Amino acid sequence: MARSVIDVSGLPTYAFGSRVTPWWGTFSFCLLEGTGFALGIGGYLYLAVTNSHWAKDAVPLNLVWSAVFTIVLVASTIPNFLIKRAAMRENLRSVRVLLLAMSSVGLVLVVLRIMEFSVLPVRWSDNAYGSFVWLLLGLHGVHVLTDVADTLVLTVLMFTRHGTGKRFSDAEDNAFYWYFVVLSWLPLYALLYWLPRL
Amino acid sequence: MRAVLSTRETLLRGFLVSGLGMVLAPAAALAHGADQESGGWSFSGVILIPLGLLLLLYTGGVARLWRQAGVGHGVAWWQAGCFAAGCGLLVAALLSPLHELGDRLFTAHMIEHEVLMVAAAPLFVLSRPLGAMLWAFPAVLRRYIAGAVRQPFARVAWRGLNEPISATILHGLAIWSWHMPVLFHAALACEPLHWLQHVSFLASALLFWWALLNGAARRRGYGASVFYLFFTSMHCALLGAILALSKNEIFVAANPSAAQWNLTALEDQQLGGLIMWVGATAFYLTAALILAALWIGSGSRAVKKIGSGARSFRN
Repeated sequence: MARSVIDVSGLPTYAFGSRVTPWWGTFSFCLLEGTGFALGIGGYLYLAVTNSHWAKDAVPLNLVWSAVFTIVLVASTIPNFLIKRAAMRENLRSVRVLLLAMSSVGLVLVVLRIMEFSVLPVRWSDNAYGSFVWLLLGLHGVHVLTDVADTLVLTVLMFTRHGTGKRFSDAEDNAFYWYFVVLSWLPLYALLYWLPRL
Repeated sequence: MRAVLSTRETLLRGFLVSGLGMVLAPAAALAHGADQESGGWSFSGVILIPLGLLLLLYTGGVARLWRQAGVGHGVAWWQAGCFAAGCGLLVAALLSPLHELGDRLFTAHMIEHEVLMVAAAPLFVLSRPLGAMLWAFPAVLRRYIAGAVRQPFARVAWRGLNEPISATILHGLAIWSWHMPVLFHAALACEPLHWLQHVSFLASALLFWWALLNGAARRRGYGASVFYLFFTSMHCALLGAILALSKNEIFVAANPSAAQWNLTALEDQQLGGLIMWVGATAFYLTAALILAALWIGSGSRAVKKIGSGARSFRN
């Protein structure tokens, strides 16, 4: 029986997109968390149509901070797109600058979310409506926080001697996850801020 | 081998077509009931003229194509059949008494929407409509139209819309926004808005099924289509479940004649929700299973091709 031997030392040690394992990890994470958001939205709507106190309890939320948050979040997809492209081209200078930009955008968003919580007209313990508002805002806030932490670590790494090879793949993966954070916010924003006003 | 696979594909498509019967049957029954009650056919030019034009272009195109290429070539018999069935369903949904009943009974309105979105739209997509209708024009005009469609802007826009993810999101947005009580009632009160509602349902459904059955998803082997069908079935199920489980009368103004059907306004709303929840979801899942079968089939075909290639290499 012949044995097949192949020299794989010439193969790359990292790749981008669905060719690397972390991408599948992030993708599965998005599916899981997306299901979590969907269940939260489903729970909110279920209570809205079955809870007899809901119409009285559902005080419309303040629009100011959430509008700023949404605009900044949607605008952040542009540097996010650029960072993904720069990472795939392995352009260290651009990746560094863009990661700094994304880190500051992320921190601004965290501050905006804190401001949002400070002006909420309901407490989490007031009623079912209040609980769901806090749950959904908090759940999404944790996702923002997760990605900002991830971006900060990546930014630091990119300014050290680790800023090579596989780290570009990590930057691309981080950008992929940020798209999920942005996309998952849009239905939540419509639900939490506009549905009670209709 | 190829012949066997293509017959299997035809067989699966046959299942898809026969599955439509399940959706159509209750629609026909309700339409019949409405006939006895009061309503009749609503022959509106807004529907008749575009539908007639569509029919004229398609039959003219297929006739010219079959004259040149031979009967059953370019557009297969089953594809022409799909087009005829799609037109029949549009007539059933928009012209038959079902449409008129939909103004007064929420359940009938939901059936009408489902017939448009999960039955008529995929049939039109399967019938190869664009190529066939292009043949309705003389050769000079045909070249001109094809050139216009190949403009960079048109290509980019079409490719963007035809991505399964953007088509799925657009279709989902159309479904959810028209079920906001404000918009739903506005559509019932104002006839042009009502047409807009139906046009946006049908157009986004056509885009959705086109992206899933014909577009890039087909070249990539239907795996993504299965996922997007599952996703769409989930959000439609959520919307249907909310309506079916609701204890508040959200669409109460939409069903003044519920009592004639021995339903309270709330029961009518719950039944409509149930049709969306179970009916539409069952259809999406059936389509997803068929596409999964095609996907797996194409995979094993590729493996067999590699296998036979390796054998010939050894010899």
